[in-house]
Amino acid sequence: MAYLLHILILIGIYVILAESLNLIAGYAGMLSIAHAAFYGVGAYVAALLALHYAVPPWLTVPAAVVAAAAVGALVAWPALRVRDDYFVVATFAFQVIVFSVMNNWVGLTGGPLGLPGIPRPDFFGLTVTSHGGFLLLTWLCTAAVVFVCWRLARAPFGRVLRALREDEVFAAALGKNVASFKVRVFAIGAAMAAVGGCLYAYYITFIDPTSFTVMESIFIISIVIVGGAGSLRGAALGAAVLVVLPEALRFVGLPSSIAANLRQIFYGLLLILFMVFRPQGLIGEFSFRRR
Amino acid sequence: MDGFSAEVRECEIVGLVGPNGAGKTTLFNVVTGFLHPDAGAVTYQGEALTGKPPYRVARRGVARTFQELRLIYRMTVLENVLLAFPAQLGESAAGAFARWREVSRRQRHNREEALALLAYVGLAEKAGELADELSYGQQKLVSLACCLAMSGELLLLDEPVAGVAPEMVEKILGLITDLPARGKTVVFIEHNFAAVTEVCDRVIFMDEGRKVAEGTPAQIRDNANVIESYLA
Repeated sequence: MAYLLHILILIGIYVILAESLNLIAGYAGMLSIAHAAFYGVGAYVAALLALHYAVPPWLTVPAAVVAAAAVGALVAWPALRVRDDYFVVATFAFQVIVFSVMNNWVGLTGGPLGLPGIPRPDFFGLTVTSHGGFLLLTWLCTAAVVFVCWRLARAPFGRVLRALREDEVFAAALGKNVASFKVRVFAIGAAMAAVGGCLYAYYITFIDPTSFTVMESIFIISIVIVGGAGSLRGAALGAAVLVVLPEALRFVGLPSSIAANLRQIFYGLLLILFMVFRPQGLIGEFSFRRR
Repeated sequence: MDGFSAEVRECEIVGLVGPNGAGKTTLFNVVTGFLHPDAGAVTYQGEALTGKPPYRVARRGVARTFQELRLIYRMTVLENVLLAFPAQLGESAAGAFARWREVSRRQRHNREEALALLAYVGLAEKAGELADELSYGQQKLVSLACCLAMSGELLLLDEPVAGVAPEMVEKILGLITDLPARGKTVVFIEHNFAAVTEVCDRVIFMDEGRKVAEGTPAQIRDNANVIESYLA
């Protein structure tokens, strides 16, 4: 039962990560492999504040969100100068830089040893410790994040994002400040990913850099691609599929050492197959192809 | 551009003609901020536009179309026109949340205006279709509707009737002729000299980045320099 709840909590966190990246990559068309960096910034800021200064979650989360939004805006900045493939490489570089900071600034982040013993979140006397409690907390946050994405996508803001991914020259000629939109969507997407990071930190009570690597970024973009870029339901579906399917491997009877590596191969294969045969994902709207 | 200088008056329809490579689209790009000139100035209603980015020029009131017809093909016709409305509260993330009611109200208002514009260009029944599904001529009408939605007063149209079926040419030219009555000023690039003669008050002939001649369509047609440019 605890295992089932654990899976559901993970799905909740990955829905948050996928929906927030979907706004950047699916709606605005900016393929970013830096999302785990924002996820990590959120986790580390919350963890450090809670561990060292006993800051309660209703303060650590906003702090984590603001920090991640700032990092997000920073990642978007080179986007204003480079296009497409070069931009993807730039996000990759940012991801690696952030990971390097997490891994090497030992005095701040504990380096490869990470940060153990993160206190459970305490909401004005109510401490969340059980799986059931975390499930509720997670899915409340997931609902909030999905609501934000839904609102933004339906508003004229979302329409400008879609215009940016199709033809940003046309958007500029219509009077849209393309640079401003790009920076904003990155900041907002990063801020929401940070919420996922906070949940992860409080739930696992231990974080280390290995949870926020390039591979993790690729996993999150895979969710968006497989589920379907540019679709709110797609991102959620992708998260459910990609979190659950490999768990099924456990029940096939493979020794866990093989199963772990098989998981990586499985994700990679899935990503390649979808990009070749169904780039719009299961129920997506955008296929990352230039017209 | 080679020492090009010209003036456009309010509610005029000016035709910009010349052989390929004369610099006509380059001129449009300079005026709308897509290209920054090494020297010279662009002034609009007394305000300097030189060096401003395209979105600022657009917001100031200069709308343009592109030679290669730019539209958001994956959006509906109505969405394309809605995109063009200026100063939308719902385009700010904060607005989308804090003032959702007001945003919804303005969206409804914009929808009505957009449908009215589409009716004006004769595409009301195509509002819900993807821009991709329209004919080339209809797509050109949509881009004209977008220019009108921007509510700027100067329209720079880059080959508005090129590659379009004859009935559609008449329709588009008819709309252009009607624009000064709506308070708009139009400059359009065209190779179709008959169209230019029919619609323009004044014509500017360009070649090799320079203004070679300027005058009424009849004056240009009979101008010796112009004939030489076309033959050279």
